[in-house]
Amino acid sequence: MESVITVRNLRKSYGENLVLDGVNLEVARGEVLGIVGPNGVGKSTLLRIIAGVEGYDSGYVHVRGRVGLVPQETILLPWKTLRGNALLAARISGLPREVAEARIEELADILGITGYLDMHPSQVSGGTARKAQIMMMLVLEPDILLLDEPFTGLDVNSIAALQESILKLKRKGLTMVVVSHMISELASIADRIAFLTHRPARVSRILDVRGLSRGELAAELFRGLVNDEV
Amino acid sequence: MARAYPELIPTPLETLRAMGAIGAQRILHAVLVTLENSITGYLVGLALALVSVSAAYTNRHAAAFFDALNTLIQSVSILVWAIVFIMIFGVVSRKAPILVVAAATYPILLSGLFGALRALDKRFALLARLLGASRYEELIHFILPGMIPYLVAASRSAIGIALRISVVAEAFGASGGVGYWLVYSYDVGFREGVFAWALILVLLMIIVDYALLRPVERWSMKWRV
Repeated sequence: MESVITVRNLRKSYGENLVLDGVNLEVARGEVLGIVGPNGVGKSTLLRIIAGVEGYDSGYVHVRGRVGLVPQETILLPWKTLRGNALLAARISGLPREVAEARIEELADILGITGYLDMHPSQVSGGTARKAQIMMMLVLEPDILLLDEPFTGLDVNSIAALQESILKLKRKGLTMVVVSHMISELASIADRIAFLTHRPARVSRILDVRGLSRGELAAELFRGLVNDEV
Repeated sequence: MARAYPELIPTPLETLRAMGAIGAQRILHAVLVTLENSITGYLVGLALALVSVSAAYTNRHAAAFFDALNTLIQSVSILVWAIVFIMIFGVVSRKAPILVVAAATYPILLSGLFGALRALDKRFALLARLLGASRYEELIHFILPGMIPYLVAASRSAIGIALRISVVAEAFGASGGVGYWLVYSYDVGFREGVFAWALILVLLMIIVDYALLRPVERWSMKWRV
């Protein structure tokens, strides 16, 4: 399978603080890769480097295609409606308005937020705002979508709805990298899960979770725990 | 006060009678002149402040320059501006009061906008970057609209000051406006007229605040995060 993201021996530090050291990763086209690790280990830093909004000290990062990064915190312009936010993204990317409007309707349908399009961010729930943020990035028609802790702060129903939306996007063939500190949030949507552990962080294990039952996943995690890989 | 200084301070009734004697037409004309001087001066100050903050956002040397300029302008007394502009433009021209108001409102607006730049949600800049916006697009679509609540709050102070300063500038050298008639009344010994014009100014400021500034400030709250 063709790799669309390749990361080799990536090293990143903030001053004296070495955050990532020797990170290796490959993501295939159409794959959903989950990255799991404790808070503050460097998952968000890794995503920002892949998205090209942050530099790195050494190593090799190659990305094939356009990348859209959905940041950890929802950032929507409060003076615009959800539709207005997405239209602004389209305008910046140079997408004609008619094309953008049709795409927004299609994406809103996939994400289940059609009824909220003409509301302002302050009028919708956290889950809907998060989906609107994803829509804003998808309007740019990225080949790869990076989602940084998309489930943080959401209630159980919103998490399930967002997972369903991510699965719909996956079925449409979108390549995604989803970062979380909770493996349970990733198990149902990811093809593989990379464990970013230790400090400075490195990928200690990549687990293929396709076809694994909950019991098998738990056994794999336990085995990894014993071997200090997760 | 009126009882303590009956020869100096008119009673409220005398003041109202004086307003009647001045006449609605003259009051309306004077108020319109003062409003025009104040609003035009405010708009000049606003335009300069917006240009300054835009330049400051895109260039750190410009930021340092306008920060220093702001301090300099704030340290110059309004009296100095009034005298200098009257010397340059004379008492007949409307430019002097307008420019005095601009000089008074510019530092207030610029300080408000600089404060907004510092306080503004840094995430807007991140969002702009994630969407691939140019520096210009970032300024136009993310930063300037985000400043609107701060600008409205600063404008509320600036317009209040603009009205007060405009009256002072008109008093110094102008041929119309509330300030001009207030000083004229004093010069001719029409003490009830002085209080009548002062009352007109107070009423004007209250009306502008309640009818214009407060509703605009409430409207701007939707811009807040």
